[in-house]
Formats: sequence, structure tokens, C-alpha cells
Amino acid sequence: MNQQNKEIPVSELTFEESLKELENIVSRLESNNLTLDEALELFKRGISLSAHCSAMLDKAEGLIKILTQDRDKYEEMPFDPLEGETNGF
Amino acid sequence: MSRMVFSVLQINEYVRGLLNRDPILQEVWVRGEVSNLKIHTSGHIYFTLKDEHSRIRCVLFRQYKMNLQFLPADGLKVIIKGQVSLYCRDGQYQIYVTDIEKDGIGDLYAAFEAMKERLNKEGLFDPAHKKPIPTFPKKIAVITSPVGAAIRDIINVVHRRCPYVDILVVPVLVQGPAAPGQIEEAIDYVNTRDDIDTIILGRGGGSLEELWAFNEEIVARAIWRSKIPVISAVGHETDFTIADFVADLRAPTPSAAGELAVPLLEHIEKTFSSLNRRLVESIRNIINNKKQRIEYISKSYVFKYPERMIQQRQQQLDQIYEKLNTSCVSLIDKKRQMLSKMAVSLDVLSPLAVLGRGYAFVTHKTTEKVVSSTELIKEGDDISVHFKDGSAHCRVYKIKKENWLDESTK
Repeated sequence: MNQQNKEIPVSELTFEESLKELENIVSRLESNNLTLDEALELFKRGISLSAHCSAMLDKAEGLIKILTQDRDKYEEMPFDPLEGETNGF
Repeated sequence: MSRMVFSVLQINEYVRGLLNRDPILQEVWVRGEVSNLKIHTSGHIYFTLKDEHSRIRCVLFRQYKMNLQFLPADGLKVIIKGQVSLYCRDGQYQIYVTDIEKDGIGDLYAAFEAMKERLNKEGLFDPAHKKPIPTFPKKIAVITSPVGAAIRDIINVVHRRCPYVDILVVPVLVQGPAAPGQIEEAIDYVNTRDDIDTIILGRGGGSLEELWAFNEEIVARAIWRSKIPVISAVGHETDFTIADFVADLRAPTPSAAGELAVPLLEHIEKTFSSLNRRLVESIRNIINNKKQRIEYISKSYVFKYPERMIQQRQQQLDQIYEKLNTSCVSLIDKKRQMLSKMAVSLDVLSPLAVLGRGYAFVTHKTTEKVVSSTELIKEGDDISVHFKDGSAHCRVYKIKKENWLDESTK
């Protein structure tokens, strides 16, 4: 089912991909027609996916950056939307 | 001849009556340019509406000000709606304005409809081309003005729903002649990056002209070629721009765009924890099932009473032995019967029995072979004649080549 995903290290997956694969693994495990070896292999993968997702969720806060352009060079600066207001438009 | 003399007021009131009864003057639309505008401390607005040939006084009372989409200013080309009447005190007729709109709006509408039609025919609004919005974005780009309510609303909503999402603000002008080019450039730039999952493109509410940048073709085409899904959020719920039609998803307002762009963290956490629970439960079930199977197997007859298996086999062996035995005996019996039958037949065929009936046979003395023909002997040979109880040695005197039966019948 996920042959190609199995090759990809968990740490390289996005949250969405991890969650999708985890969903896949769970439904395969629940179908219950696996050998014990297969089941344990899937479970191991499932646990590392779960830990990966969990780590991403635990990340305290998303960053807010603003793009600035200086002579064709883009840079990212921290952005505070409340501060910006005083600049007027 | 009597004269009818009126007061000034009477004349003014009479003329006002005439004006007020005229059906056309009750509600007129007049196009012109605003000049001499004064906003009185009372809140009423006085101005003159003029064109190249003429001018007319106008007043807009305070209570109608709330209806206005914008505040008129000198030099602005407008279309006003109002009633023509007379101000008795000054004897001046004027328009009592109830609504003002900007002139040229009609042209904008026509241009909007024409472009919408053209781009629609070209397939830019095709639902099949619309990309799904990622369910769990890691980073979203917000292309909008860095100041104002829109960016604040989007950031607030996104982080309230899903604090882990990163936001990149790509600042652009959202109105004015430079806006479309900046928006196009911003969309193309974001598409050169590989860390952006979703784009929110928008601005807060404004007049049709203020929102116009989002109706520009270069913006529409930039949205169309964006590989990253675009959520449009332009103005209020009632505002529709070309960008809204081309975008992969239209949000009625900037805050709504924030809601559509990211999931509620609680929902993710719920999904996630339920998956975790199912993962552990399913492996536990699998292990339990295998255990049960082992238990079931070990409880089976074979494992429980292995000696019975042997006993059974032994019994089988006995039965087979028994069968072998009986079949052997019967085979021997059969053979014995056959033998005695054969013995009887043999008895019948025995030469002794023939000799018993009076026959004898002859053997040659030297060759000791049976002589069955006169061809085998010659006169003077010694032969033996065998009877049932002995033999006689004889010498051949004479040979007759005739069958003795033939001879006897002569």
C-alpha cells in the first residue's frame, strides 16, 4: 500500500503526509489479516509517525515573518501586525 | 383694475409649490462636478454641482450622510439623487440630495462584466482547475497590505485556530495603479519558494475602485498559474472580484480566509489522539488474537492427549495386521484348492492311466527316445516296449509302413 512511503524517513514527511500514512497504517492494522511480523513492522512505523506528528504539534508557536525587499534581495523579518498599524497607509 | 400684490414669501412659496408638484423634479439624477463644498457644524453638507455650462446649489442633510459610500469632495465627478425644490428664505432653488455615487462607476461595471465573461470563456474559472486547499498547512503566505485590519484579522484567526502554523506576510499595495503589478509579482515570487502550502490574497473592504486591483487581468492570470492553492479574501461578503472567481477558494472576508486556510487545532488533536488510540488498540488486538490462536491450538486434542494419537495408530496397525493375516490365509486356501484341482487334471492326463487301459510305448534302445513313428527305427534295431507294470526288450524284424488301422480294415 505504501511501499514508496516506507522508503521515506519519517522526519522528511509533512504533518499532513504523516497523519495520512498513520491513518493508512491504522486501518491496515485494524483489517487484521496480517502476519505478526507485518503487524509489528507497521506498528513500529506508526509509532514513529505518531511521535513525529506529536513533535510538530508541540511546537509552541508558529512564526510570523514579513518579507522585505532590498535591491532584488528578499529577506524575512519578524512581523508584529499591531506595530505596523502606526505606519499608516 | 385691481392689482394682486404678493409678498416675497408668497411668491417663493408659490414657486416652491409648483416645483414640489412637478413629477419629474420629485426625484432626479444629476451628473456633475462637486465644488464649493462646505460641511456645516450642524453636519449638513452644502455644495455646488457644476458642469461646463451651468451650476446648481445642492444640500445634503445630516441624516442622509450615513447612506453615503464616501464623502464628496471638491473636484469629484458624481451623480447625485435628490428632489429639486426652493429654499424660501433665499429664493434660491436647489437640490435636496439623498444619495451620491461616483461617476464612472457604470463604466467600471461594464469593464468588470466584460472581463469576467472573457476570462470565463477562456476557462480561468473552471472548477476542474481549482486545487484543493491543504488540510494541515505548515506555512501560509498572506499577500496583502501590511497595515490595516485585514492582515491583523487573518493572523489572529489563523493563530487562534492553529498556533503551530507559520505565516509569511508578503506586503503589497492593495489599491492604486501600482497594486496589480505588485500583487502579480508577489504571487509569482511565493511560487518560487517550496515552503508555502497555501496563499491568502486579499484586502479589507472598500469601494469598487479601491478593490479594482483584484479585477485586473494580470492578477487573475497570476492566480491562475499559481501552483500553490490561493484563497481570495477581498472586501466584504457582498464584494465579488475577478480574483475571487479565479482563486481556488473564495473567502467572504479576510477573517473567513483565516478559518478556511487552517484547521482547528482541537480537531487535529482529536483526530490525532484517536489515531494513536486505534494504533495501540489494533496491535494489542492482533497480538491477543495470535495468543488466542496459540491457546486454542495447544488446547486441541492432539496436544492435550498425545498418547491417544499413538493408541489410535496402534489400533489401526492392529486392524491392518488382522486384515493382512486373514487375506493371507484365504489366499493360501485358494491356492490349495487350485492345486488339488490341478492334481485331478494331472491324474487324468497321466500316461500311467493310459498304460492302465492297455496302451504301451516304445523307446529306442540306444537313443532312449520315444519312438512315435516307423521313421525312427530300422530293421534290426533294439527297442524297449513299456507297459504299466514293466517293459520288454525287443528286436525289430520287419517294418511295415502302413497304419495298422488301415491294415485291419482291409
